[in-house]
Amino acid sequence: MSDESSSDRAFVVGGEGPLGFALPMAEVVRVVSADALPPRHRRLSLARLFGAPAERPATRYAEMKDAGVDTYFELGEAADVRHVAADAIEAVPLCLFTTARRWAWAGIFRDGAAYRVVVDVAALAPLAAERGAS
Amino acid sequence: MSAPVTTASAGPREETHSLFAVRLGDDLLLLPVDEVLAVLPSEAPTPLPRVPPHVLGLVNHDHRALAVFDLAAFLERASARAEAGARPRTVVVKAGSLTVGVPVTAALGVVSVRASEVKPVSGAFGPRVGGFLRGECETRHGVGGWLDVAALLEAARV
Repeated sequence: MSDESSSDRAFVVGGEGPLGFALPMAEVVRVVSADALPPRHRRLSLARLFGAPAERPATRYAEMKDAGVDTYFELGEAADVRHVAADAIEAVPLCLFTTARRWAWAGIFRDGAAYRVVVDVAALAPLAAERGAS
Repeated sequence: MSAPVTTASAGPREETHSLFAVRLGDDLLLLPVDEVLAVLPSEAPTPLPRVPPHVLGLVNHDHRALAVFDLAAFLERASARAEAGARPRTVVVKAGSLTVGVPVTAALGVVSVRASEVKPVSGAFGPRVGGFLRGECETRHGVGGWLDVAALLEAARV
């Protein structure tokens, strides 16, 4: 049993530096390394969308419920899990509304000195490109 | 609007406006006081990806994420951050539903301007700024441009 509050929400977080991203844990099917990716799949680099460097050998990938079959989100090397109080998740400031909508930013929360942008998986998945596993 | 006040002098009553004066690079700009929520020490914002250059990022203000816009860059004027020896501040402005932090070269404080002292826009601030001015006023800090904050934030939102 988890001792977290029922009002907490769990996220898989990634990205480097003061701004990263967060995927709702409830929508994560599994997190895998590059050698566990299927031979053909669709991939979207969240790390690159958030300014992190290109893929590295230890990069992790998340398979998500609402993203479609064999669609994976690249998390980068620094993937981790955070439990966040529901009331700590803010709306993206309204003056950023158009950008937030375009890039599927569903919310934002503080993670120590950094911010994490909660990503709307279903909205972002259509941007994933077909790839062969490397 | 700018919190109009009717003067209590013995002569004919004249409406005055309370405006908050800031220096933005070389420009003196005047903001309606009721659209200024706070003046903060400047801090480096957390940059955001996929935004235009005038969006500097986020800072934590009052336990909320506050977007910081470089209005000097948006208005194509000298940067508020470029002036050495100044005391830069971030002014939190709110107009309608939009709240934004704006780095300024200096926050000078409140000035009162009589309605008769508000002149039409002369073009001295350039065409880009002029489009967001309600008028120009002589103040103790010099000639300032009275900003239409709501129009400016609406144009700068992304």
